[in-house]
Amino acid sequence: MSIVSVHKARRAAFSSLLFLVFAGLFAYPIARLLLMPWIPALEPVGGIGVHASTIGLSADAIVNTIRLGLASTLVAVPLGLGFGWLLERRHWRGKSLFMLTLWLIFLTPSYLLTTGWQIVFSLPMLHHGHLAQLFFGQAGIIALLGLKGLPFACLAARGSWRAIGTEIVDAARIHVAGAWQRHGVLLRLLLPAVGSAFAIVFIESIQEFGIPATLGAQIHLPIITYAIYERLAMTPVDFTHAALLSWTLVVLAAGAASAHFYLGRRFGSALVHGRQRQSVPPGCGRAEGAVAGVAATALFTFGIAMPGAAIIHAALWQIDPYASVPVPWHTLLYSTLYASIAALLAVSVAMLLISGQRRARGGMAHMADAMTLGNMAIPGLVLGAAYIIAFNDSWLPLYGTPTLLVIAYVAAQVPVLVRFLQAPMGQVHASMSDAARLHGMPWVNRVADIQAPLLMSPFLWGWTMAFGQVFFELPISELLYPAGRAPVGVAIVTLNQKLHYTAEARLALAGIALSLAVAGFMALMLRFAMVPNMAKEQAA
Amino acid sequence: MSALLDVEAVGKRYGGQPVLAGVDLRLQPGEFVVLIGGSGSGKTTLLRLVGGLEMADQGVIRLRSQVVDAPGDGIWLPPERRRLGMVFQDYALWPHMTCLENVMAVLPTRTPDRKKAAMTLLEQVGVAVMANRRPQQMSGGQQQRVGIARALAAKPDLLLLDEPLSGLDVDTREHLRMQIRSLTREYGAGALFVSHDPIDAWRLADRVVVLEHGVLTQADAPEALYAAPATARIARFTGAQGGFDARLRRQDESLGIDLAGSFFPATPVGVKEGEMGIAFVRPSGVRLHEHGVPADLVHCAFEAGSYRAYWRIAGLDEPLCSLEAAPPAAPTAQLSIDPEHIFIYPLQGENAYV
Repeated sequence: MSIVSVHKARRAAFSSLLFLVFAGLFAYPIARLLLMPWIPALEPVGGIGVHASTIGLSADAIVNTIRLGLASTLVAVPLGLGFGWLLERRHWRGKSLFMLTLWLIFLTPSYLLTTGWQIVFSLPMLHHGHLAQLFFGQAGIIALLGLKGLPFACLAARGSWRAIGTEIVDAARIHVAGAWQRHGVLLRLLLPAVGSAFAIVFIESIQEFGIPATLGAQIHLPIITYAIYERLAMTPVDFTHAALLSWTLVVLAAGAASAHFYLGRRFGSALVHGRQRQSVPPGCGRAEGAVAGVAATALFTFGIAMPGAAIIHAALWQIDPYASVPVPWHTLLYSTLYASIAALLAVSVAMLLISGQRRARGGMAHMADAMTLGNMAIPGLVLGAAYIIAFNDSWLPLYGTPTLLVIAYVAAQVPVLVRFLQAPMGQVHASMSDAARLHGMPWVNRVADIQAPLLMSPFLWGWTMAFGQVFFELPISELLYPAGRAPVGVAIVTLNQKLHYTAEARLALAGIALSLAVAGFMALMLRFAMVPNMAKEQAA
Repeated sequence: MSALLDVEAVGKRYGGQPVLAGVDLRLQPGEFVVLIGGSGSGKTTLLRLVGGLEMADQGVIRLRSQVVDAPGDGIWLPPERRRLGMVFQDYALWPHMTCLENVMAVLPTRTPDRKKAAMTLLEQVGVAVMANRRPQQMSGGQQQRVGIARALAAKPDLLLLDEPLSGLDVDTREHLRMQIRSLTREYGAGALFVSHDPIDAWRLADRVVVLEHGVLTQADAPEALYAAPATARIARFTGAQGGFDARLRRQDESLGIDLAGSFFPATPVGVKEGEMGIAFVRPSGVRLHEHGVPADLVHCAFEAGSYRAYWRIAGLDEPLCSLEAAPPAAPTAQLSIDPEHIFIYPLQGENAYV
């Protein structure tokens, strides 16, 4: 076979492998789940069919989900726009603390934040107060969904403020005399930002599972994600209605995403301009400084400090209303194993996809795009539901095995990692590898001296992020964990639902400590890994 | 003498769109060829095909008489086996290595005292004092010097340069331009230098090769290119201005065009007598002359030692330019144009001025 044929065959094999990964991990399971209501033959063994269902579709769950999603979005988006402006356009002292808080809120599993506040309002001095009544109701769920949506709203708004650029604002100040007209011009520029923040927060809110599984379950409020879980976790298993509810979730998310894209297309052209000059943001005025300070303090206090302190308090002192139960420490071991393997596989697949996307024109690039965008519409719970159905046949008997759980974790993490690793991997220009090839470096040297050191940093960073996400993952774990080998998220929520706060808090704190230790270890590895091999030769 | 590089009827498509079509190019040992073309003309693609970073769809590429890319015969030699050096537009230095390490990494393994050899190269390009710095701690010009040292470290007989000066300021660009020329001469290496800047062609090239929409339209020494630009774009590239409609006609055994009622002998390129064409005039051929065509002075600007005067002539949409030693004394004058500085090209077809 000629060199050209070998080269082309190698590329074709790589593309086929990626296509198989895409088809196996996403296309087949999702298609089977979503087509099942219309093609009953797709239902796996153990289903009861659409007519035998006792609980049905639950219109309440749909209405509640839309209402809570909209309300929490209306809470988070205006705050996100304001905070985004403060972060992008002003320089102030608490900025770093504020960013740290946003990251912590983003990274902390929602069921842990909820648990913290459940513990706060279970304290005798607050338990019967007006605030507690509000918290153990829809207001509590809206507040928590809004809190979890805030980092997304800030991120979207900040990007849009950056895109608008100070020069456009300056141009409006110079050329548009009337204050109202000027504000009108700027508000129109902000529309895509509002649309984008609104869509992202709404989608995140309706796809949220941790809050419905803890506070929602405690107050018996039907929400779509938890309703899907109930239909799959209880006997008899109602696959068809789980599929129909999944459809609802997907349609709602697709609707919000479409509105976002429409606004971007309709008004986004206003943001297309030539060179953008980066200017140093000015300091805050007195009033702005006060607002920023209060906002940063309040977010840190209510978003992280109070729920965190409550969990620590519950872990140190016995506060459960019932007799204490043993802490299921073994779940930490399972989660560490699952998360380590899933993170390794997910990062590898994501990096392969990104490098393929950067080199390929057409098919592979579109596939990677489809995967990352698909993640917006397909939440982890729907993916888990799809896996139960897709891999529960006699010819694919993977349901109930750790293998399927890990595969599902990988499938859920790959799109997120592709998005997150695109920027750091983008800094490693393709021309750096080209330069190595063109200057005659052998394959081994190229990998060892050029590609590995350059890609080590995004690899370890991606692995750490995926590890943290999988370690505390809930929806997929709830649906797919192997009997007797539950991961830590499932154990925490089970303890929460039985109000064993002390055991739950101890397990959560141990889990956080373990994750931080792993992250610290990886950071250390990163430092050692970055020592270039060439330096040794130079020293010699 | 056998060519160092021989590109024969090479074609390349991206997503069904042709990027290069039937390109023929020969480069002799030690020859400095500047490859010029607008955005999307295919010049970088041609360079990457020579480097082996892309595979041709048609044709044959030979390096030192060895076939390195011939899709028809299933031959393709990977870049690491072509023994070339390349300077990249974005420098492409390895950020985790110091400058010295960047150069050492490319030196052939059997080079004695590699550190000393690398330092010598860095000294030659004037950045030896920064040998232990990482690329991100240096300016663009300094990084590109390291890029040149790295390319030379591979001891190539052909150097590929992909717009290496495009991101740099004027001073640095001029300095590096001369350094590239003297170093390639010193090393006896041939060079294929991609650029869109005419100055690179005038100051560096033994031969200028022009690509337009993926087709090679002219390959000549700079003097020949200046004397007879093959297309309207190349005429613009040599400094010609205008782009006004005119009919080619004969008068007193000369072919030429009418401007404001006066006949001017011109150089036709692909236009036949009696046909309409599009005319371009080089400022260096426009002179004040008592028997010329009447013109009104529109504007006069000082430009690096001379004055560029803009003249409006009745019937022409665009002004003509002349280069003067002093600002014109009167607001009106009469202009003559040297025939070798007026070119007329066909209105349609591949030579059409867009």
